[in-house]
Parts: sequence; C-alpha cells; structure tokens
Amino acid sequence: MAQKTLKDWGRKWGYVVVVLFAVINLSSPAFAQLEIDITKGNAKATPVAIPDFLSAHPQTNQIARDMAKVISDDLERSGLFDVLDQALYIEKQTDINYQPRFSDWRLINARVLVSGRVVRESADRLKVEFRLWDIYGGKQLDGLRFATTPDNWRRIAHKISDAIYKRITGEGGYFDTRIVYIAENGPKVNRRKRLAIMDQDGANSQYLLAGADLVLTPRFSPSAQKITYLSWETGVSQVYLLDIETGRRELLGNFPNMTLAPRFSPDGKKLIFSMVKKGNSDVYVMDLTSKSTQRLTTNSGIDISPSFSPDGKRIVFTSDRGGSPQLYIMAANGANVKRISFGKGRYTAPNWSPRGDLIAFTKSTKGRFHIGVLNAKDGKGERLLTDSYLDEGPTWSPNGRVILFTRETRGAQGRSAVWSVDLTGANLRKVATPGSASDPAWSPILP
Amino acid sequence: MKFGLPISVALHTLVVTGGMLLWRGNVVPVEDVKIISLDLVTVAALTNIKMTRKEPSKPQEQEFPKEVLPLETEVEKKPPLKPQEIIPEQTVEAREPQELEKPNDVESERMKVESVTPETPRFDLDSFAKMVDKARTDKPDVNTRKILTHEAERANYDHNGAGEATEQTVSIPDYIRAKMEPCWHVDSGQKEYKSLRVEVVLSLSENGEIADIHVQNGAQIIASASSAWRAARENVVTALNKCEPYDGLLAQDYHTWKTIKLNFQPGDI
Repeated sequence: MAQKTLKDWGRKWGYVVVVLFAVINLSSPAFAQLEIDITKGNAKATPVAIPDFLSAHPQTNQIARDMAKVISDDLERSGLFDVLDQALYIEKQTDINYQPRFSDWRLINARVLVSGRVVRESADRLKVEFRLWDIYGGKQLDGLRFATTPDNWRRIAHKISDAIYKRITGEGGYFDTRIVYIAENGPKVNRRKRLAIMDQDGANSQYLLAGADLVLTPRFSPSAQKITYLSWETGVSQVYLLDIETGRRELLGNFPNMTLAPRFSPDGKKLIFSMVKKGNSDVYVMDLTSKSTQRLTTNSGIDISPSFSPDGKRIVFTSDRGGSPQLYIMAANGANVKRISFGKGRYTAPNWSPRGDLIAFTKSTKGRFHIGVLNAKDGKGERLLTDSYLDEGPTWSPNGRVILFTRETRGAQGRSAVWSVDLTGANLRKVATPGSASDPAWSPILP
Repeated sequence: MKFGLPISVALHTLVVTGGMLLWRGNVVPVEDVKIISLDLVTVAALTNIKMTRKEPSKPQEQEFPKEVLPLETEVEKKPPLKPQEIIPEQTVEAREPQELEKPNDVESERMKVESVTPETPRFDLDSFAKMVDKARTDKPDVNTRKILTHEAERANYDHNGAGEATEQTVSIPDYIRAKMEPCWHVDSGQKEYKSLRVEVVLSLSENGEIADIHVQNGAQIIASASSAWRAARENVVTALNKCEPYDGLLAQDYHTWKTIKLNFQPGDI
C-alpha cells in the first residue's frame, strides 16, 4: 500500500515537472544568439617592439645592443614581423622583472614586446634573460634564461628569435640554423666552386674545402653534423660525406659511373641518389652502415633528383618516362610509382617539405624559370612562387616555411646568388653571402 | 505560245487577288496601346544617408571625468562637449511623417510634370497628350499609374531608415566583419590554415567595450597537438581586444549584440 502511494506521488510529481518544463519552455521567447562567420583577416606582419637589452656592465653593453639587433633582423627577415622603430618607444624600461606599461606600447601599435637583459656572471660566462609580453592581452607570453660564453651571444640571440617565432606563429623557428652552399668566384666559363657554410643570416661564413675540385649539391644530414656532396675529385662525379666537426671526408661507394644529387633519409641512416649506368639514370638507395646499395627504379627513362618524404615512407623524383621531365612519387622500396605533376614545362629538383604537405620544385617553361610548390598528397594546388631568367634548386627551412634557391642573372657576367621566398610567395629577398653563391641547403635546427 | 505571257500574268493576278480577298488568317484587331506615364523623381532624398549616431548612453559617460581626477580641471577649462548636438532623437522622430507623406509628394510632382508644355515641340505632342487622356478616360485600368504608385510606396517602405536625416542601416554582421578585418591577423602560410577554426562568444557592454571573451572550442584547441591552432586562437583574442571598442552599433539594438557568437575561420587570403 505504501509502495503504491509512493508510486502515485512519484507519478503526480512527474506530471508536474513535465508540465512546468513545457510551460516554461513554451512561454519564454525563443533565444537566438547572433552568430557571425568571419573569414576575412589580414596578412600584415605582426608589429613587435624590441628595445635594446638591458646591461649593467660596460663589457656587456655592446652585446646587449647587438643581441636586440640580431633578433630584430631575424624576425624582420622572416616577413612575419614588423619591428617597430626604437625611436617610437615611449616607455624606457629599466628592469625586465616589472610589467611594462601596456598602454604606452598600444599607442605605438605594438602587439608584442620583447624585453631582455644581459648579465655578466664572470669573464667567460654570460646570463641572458628575455620576456615576451602580449600588449593587448596584458600578460607575459614567454620568458627564458640562457647561460653561455660571451663569444656565443649570436646563437643565444637566434635561439631567442626562435622562441619568439614559435610563441607567436605556433610553428618552430629556423633562426638557429646554418646554410651550406657553393661559393663561386671567377668568370662564368671558368668559375671556381668551393664548399662553404654560414649562419642562416649570413654571418660566420667559412669555407669547408680548399676548392681544388668542382663540388656540387651539398646536403645536410638530419643531425646537422655531416654533409653529403658531389665532387669530381676522381674525374667522375662521386658522392662524399664530410663531418663538419672533425673535417673527415669519406668517399661513398666509389662507383665506376657518374652519381648525382645525393640526399639523406630523414633518419640519417640511408643516402638516396641517382646513378648513370649504360646511359640510363636510375634512383638508388645506400645503407650508410652496411654500404649496400639497392636500385629503386628500373625504367628506361632518366630518373633523377630523389627526395624522401619526412616520414621516410615515400620518395619524390624527376623522370622523363612520360616524354618530358615530370614529378613522380613512389614508395620507399620503389613500388607504386605515380605521376603527380601534369603541367606544361619541365619539372625538376623536387624537394619534399619537412612539414610533409608540399613539394617544392623547379619549373622551366617558355624560357623562364620558376620555383613552385604543389600538394604532396595529390599533386594539385600548384603555385609558382618566383619567376626569373634562372631560378633553381629549392631547399626548405627546417620548419617548412621558407624556401632557399639559386638565382642567376643573364649574360657572360651573370652572377648567381642565394635567394629566399616564403611559401606563400611573399617576402622574396636576397640572402647575404660574401660573394656569388649557389646550391644552398638548409640545416636542421642546431642541437 | 503567242498568248503565253498574258495568260500567265492574268492567272497570277487572279490567284494573288483571290487569295487576298478570301484568306484572312488569324488576324486579330490590335488592342489599344498601353500607355505608361513616367514620372521623374529624384532619389537623392532616399540615398543621402548620414552617419550613424549612437544614442547617448546616459549619465555614465557624463560622470566619466570623476574617475580621471587628475584631468578634471583640464576638462573643465575646455568648452563643454554638448553631447546634445549629436543626438539623433529629433531626426528619428521627424522621419516617420516624412516617410508616410512621400507618396503624396510624388503624386503632386508628377502632376506638375504633366502640366508643363514645351515651347517648341518637335513632334505632335498634342495628339500624344490626347491619346493619354483618352486612354485614361476609356480604360483607366490600362494605365499603370496605380502600379507605379504602389512601386513607389514599396520603394519608400524598403528604404525605411534611409534618406535625409535618418540613420545608417549597416547590419551588425557587416559592421563586425568590417571591424575585424584589419585587426585579425591570418597567417596563410600555416599548414592547413583554413581548418584553424576558432569559435568565440563575445560579450559587450552597452558602450561597446568587451565584457568577456569566451573561446567556445578552447578546450579542443588546447588539447590539440597543433600549436598553430593555439596561435590562431591567440590571434583571434588579440584581434578582438585590438578592435575594441565596438561603438558603431546602435544602442537600440543592444539586446541583439550584447552577446555575439563569432566563428573565425580563414577563407582565401
């Protein structure tokens, strides 16, 4: 009986709740929040303020100023940042441990502020600190401290640039890197080509080889410690391996035939290249531990310029098996060859982006050369980023954002130089090198 | 065949004449021509839109100097701002009768045009005017004056809110989109940048200042492995802060824009 009563009460209250719910919902007006889709923004560079770093010691004053300059130049060169003129700065910070006056920085339209200081801890030791402030959010975005020797201040500046770049864009930076390239001297018909290396901003350039023999196509290993390149030291082009730290050189394979365009696999354990046998060029892969070589393509066409995908599972290369040089993709074991470029002209020197989504290439058509990109997935979305008398040999920055390439000017007195372009096609600029330069290759982020 | 030619001519003449007399085909009498009278009406009054003026937000702004005490004396020295001068209330009140009376104005203007006779007509305008009058008398329905009047009325109705001494009719979405474009930085070089969607609920105070920014898919973004998505989220929040205040929205519509859901997703740059 008691159970029945409880059931009745439960049923009654259930009805009441349902009725109340219905009444409330039906009597209140429908709530419709205004919803707006926003698809248009701007691609302007981010305004950033970088005052000179603070320094309390006379011996570090110059370093403090130079560090701010190097960071400013790094960010400015990326094309994604607009470093505001120091003359505009209203607030003069005297200590980086206090919150800046955000209103002062808003007035000059800065979006972020980089404040830092250099502290001399001993004659051979510096402490560098920096803070990254969000001016509109009114908060600190990042703060790091480095300890180093005084002569290593440039690398610390590049590391700070990388930290700022990553925090603002969400992508890894590429400032603490090096570029290996071919330094060129002399007239076009008798040009001396030497293997050289420099920081990505053109500083600390130095030759790696004496320059007695012709060298071409240097490429970094994933560890950034070794470089593979082609040399005519033995009379035919052969693949060499150079340890940057020790200076030790190694001839790989000593093949009787011409070998071309070597590149490391993403894990650094293999080398992929093309080799000419009986007039036919095919793609080969070499295990660097066992030195065993495997042929990957068997087509009668010319197969050259192979490049691994970042996961090491696929390879892109150039082949003229279809009648003209076009881009093809195959599995790392040589299976499932598939053509991915179908445009008019000649597609050469493909290079898979470290991000994996794009493939950069050189394209020549109607007497002009271009650096372009297309989707690695299906070969669609081709975009030509440059246009000139001769652009060739694209190489990616480690974050897959910027492409370096060689641009040569017309005529007997024509000079070659290294240029860079953002993958959007913006921010085309010449890279500072001591003299003429070609065939650049970008290192990974330094350890 | 001496008479061949005369016989042929006679037979042809017979056939053609007979045909013209006997065959009538589907000839239908031509109806009276519909004559449409046209009025020249200036549209300047309809298109002359003045700037939006917010209704004064009442005493709060007047009392603002109290908080900024150091500036109080300086503010007093300056001539008073006279906020009444930019109050659109009077013009709003005056709009309604004007809008309602416009069709009559149009009608009277049209009549004036009809009564004017050019000094040196280049064609027989009198007979044309007679045709018009006859058509109006015989078949008033043929004349499309009523339709035109109706169209004019509808045009005025559609333009309600526009015209001399009325307020700008820009929509809230258009205003927000136009406001955000220069503030919102989009990095089209990011991998799959078009998929970096950030959904925000923006709460605004009556004077257009930000009361709250809530990123609706914030948890999803933070949990994601994509640091580019997190950067996109910060770009959106920065853009919203940078664009503040949103003071171009009509105060009378505050209930509509008090909270707005904004979906930021880059299109083609």
